[in-house]
Amino acid sequence: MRNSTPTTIRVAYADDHAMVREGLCELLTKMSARTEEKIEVCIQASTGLELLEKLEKAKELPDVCLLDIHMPGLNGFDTMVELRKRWQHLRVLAITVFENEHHLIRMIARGADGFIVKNNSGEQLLKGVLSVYNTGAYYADQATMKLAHAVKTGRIREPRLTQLEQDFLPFVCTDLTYDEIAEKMGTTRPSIDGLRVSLFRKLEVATRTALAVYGIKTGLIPLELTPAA
Amino acid sequence: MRIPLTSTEPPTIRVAYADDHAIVREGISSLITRRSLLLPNETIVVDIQASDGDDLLSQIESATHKPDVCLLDISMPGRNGFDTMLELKRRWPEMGVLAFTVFDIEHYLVRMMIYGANGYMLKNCSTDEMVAAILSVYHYGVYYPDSETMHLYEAIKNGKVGLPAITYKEMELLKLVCTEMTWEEIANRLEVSEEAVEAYRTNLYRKLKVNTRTALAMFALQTGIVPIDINRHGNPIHY
Repeated sequence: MRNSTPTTIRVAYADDHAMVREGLCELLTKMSARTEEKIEVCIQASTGLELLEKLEKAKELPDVCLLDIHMPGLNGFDTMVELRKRWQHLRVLAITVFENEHHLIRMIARGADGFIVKNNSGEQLLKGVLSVYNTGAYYADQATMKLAHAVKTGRIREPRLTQLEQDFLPFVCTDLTYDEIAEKMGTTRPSIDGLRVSLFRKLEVATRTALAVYGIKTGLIPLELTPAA
Repeated sequence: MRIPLTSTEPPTIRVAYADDHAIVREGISSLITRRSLLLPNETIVVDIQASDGDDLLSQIESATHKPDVCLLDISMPGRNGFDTMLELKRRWPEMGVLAFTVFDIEHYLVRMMIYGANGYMLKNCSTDEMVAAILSVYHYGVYYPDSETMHLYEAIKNGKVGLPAITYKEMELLKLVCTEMTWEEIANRLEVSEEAVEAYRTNLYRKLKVNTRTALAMFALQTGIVPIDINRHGNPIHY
């Protein structure tokens, strides 16, 4: 007699929004009732750190990790680096609200096996989990697959911000002039102009306001760091 | 607000939910419906799911049974949560609406409550809390998680806590300040002269005690005049 026990895919999921996380787990479990493989969410974590701790303690590693990018504390990017350092073969599907090429590039460069956007359908989520489990990769379309390939082969690199550029960003959101920012950062106006130009280029914006708005939207600049309205 | 009928049939609370993130929406809808099966006296069904504000409005318009409670995300493409809230309350003033968002920003809460929200829920709440909030809005017309929030709602209702006094024209300008448009382009879009735009701008600088366009943009984001759009690349802001 052939073995008819269905395969169970064990999933871990880190997301700081409890309701969103529980909803997605519900959706996955419900939909997998229709597929041959059963999906069981065995680990839920509300931060990257909690995910790492729970994985360390787990008797058996999950088959697939779902990893949200925008989390307080250890965010998805840093968690991804740590996951790869500790468990080279763990399969990880990044899951995010950001429809942003830079985020995709950064996640792939850190070793993610695929990418799900939160406005995808439940069907796509299920497909993503099954595909990462069965083939080790999931990309929603041809374009994403090509992009991922280009990142893996080093033809496309993520825009990396230097420490100075990162330090400069919160100042961009203030009411200070560039001269005043230079004084606050203990540097010169020309070097501030250098930072500004390189950030415009890396983040593909043309004005200070657009840079500030971009920083807030992508979480590069926490809203708390901007002057109170 | 409904008075429970003395009937053996448990009342069904109809919920509509607008959120552009399909997997989040589908998951949470299913979760709420399933959890409500444990309730002794009511059933909750999420029978309208919409992917943005306009979709929600048109689905409610054509629904035979209007929803009792709406769940409304803030950051959505097209008509955002704030604008949708105003429109919902204009067309169906008695309908309960819970803002449902990732933004733990007091200005957003104040704006939502002033626009008529019956409560403000964060997406890191638990399923039990969400079910409690839906029941509370259905039966009492309001939900607050704790006494501190209740006092804040009271203060908003009594006009003791409010939004910065911004005129409609200034608000229109602030929406465009967050883009990469030049002042000239903004004047063209608003169909006013460049001098008029300059006058609004100077007025805003004085009112808000700031000196730069960036500071105006930050003000617009922080107060929800332009809700933070968490979905898309920053270049450009999509309107």
